[in-house]
Amino acid sequence: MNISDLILIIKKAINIENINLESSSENTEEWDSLGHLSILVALDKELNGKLSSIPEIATADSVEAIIAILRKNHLIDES
Amino acid sequence: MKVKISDIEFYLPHKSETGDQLKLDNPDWDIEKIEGKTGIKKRFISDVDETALDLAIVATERLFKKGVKIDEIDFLIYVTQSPDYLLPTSACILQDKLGLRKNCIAFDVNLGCSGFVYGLSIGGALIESKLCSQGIIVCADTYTKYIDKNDRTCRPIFSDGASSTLISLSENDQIGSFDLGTDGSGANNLIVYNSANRISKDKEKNLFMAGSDIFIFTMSSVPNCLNKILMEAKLKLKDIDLFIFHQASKLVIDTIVNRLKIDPKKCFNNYHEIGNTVSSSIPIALSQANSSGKLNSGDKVLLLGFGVGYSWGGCVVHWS
Repeated sequence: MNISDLILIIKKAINIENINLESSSENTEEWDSLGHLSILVALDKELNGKLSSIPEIATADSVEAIIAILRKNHLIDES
Repeated sequence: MKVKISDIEFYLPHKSETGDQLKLDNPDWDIEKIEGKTGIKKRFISDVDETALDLAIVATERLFKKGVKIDEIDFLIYVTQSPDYLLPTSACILQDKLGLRKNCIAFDVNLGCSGFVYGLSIGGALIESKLCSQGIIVCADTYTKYIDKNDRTCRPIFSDGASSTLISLSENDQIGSFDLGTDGSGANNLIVYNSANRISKDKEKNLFMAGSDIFIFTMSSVPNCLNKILMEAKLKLKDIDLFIFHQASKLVIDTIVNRLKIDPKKCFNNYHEIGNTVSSSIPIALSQANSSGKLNSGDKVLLLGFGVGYSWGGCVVHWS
């Protein structure tokens, strides 16, 4: 999964088109607590269950924060 | 364990609530979206003067009406996080109200979603030790009393209810392969602050749930627990005839089922019409699975509860 894939996953999870690197729960109405859970479910599926070994992902409520955590755990393709 | 589940009864409060009521109190909530994620369309709400103990009494009286001899009950395990008082122990009040013998063992277990499985484990051990021959595991909770009417995380999910389960000595091993666990580092993620002696001046006395943290905990603990149970039981996933998970919500159960590649037809759920009744969710589902013909004698049923604590517990029941 690369960053474009991640953004696409988030778009699908919360069902909106307008997601970019600056998006967060603060500036995206659909990214509420339910939306955040939907993002986690979608990411967990994409990563074949690896998400559950990263507890800090639970509070990552922006695209930037999610990328940082995935990067730290070598779960994002930088190519 | 040479212990069997002999019978289960349950009771839900008369008052119930649907999305219409939520919308009335919170016009800005997208009910369709909420119900789409939680899968919960109806919840049961105890009256102001109706406590978990009241629900527990009705559930257990239903059990006794079916012919259980009250004077043959050796123990009462009361699983609740909604006690009438900090003290005395609710189980003592329940023993008296139900007219159980005075030499009946009675104590509370302060656990939520994992509580029924813990109750089975403790009750089973009392029977296996030959200290007791049969007893009841009564689960009752009224979480809705802790929830603010504008709390969109908790209100659409939790429901009130009680169950009473009779377990007794059996000739064969019918309950076993328990896996029980605890991770108290998650205590603050599902909590009612200021509900006992610890004062947190900046917190409300309401149920607080960090849904995302609970989700990550669940996805970590449930697969591990299930695998340990299967290994201990020397069974494969396909050998299980029915799975009954704690009825947390559609989103959580669907993710577990997808992750573990469980055939959805083998997973019994009732969250749609009952909601999440915490400690009673597994016994109520087990009772309904049985009454709806989903269970046959000899079936292997895997029960797994998880949540507040964090705490989790699962086991295999050979249905009879």
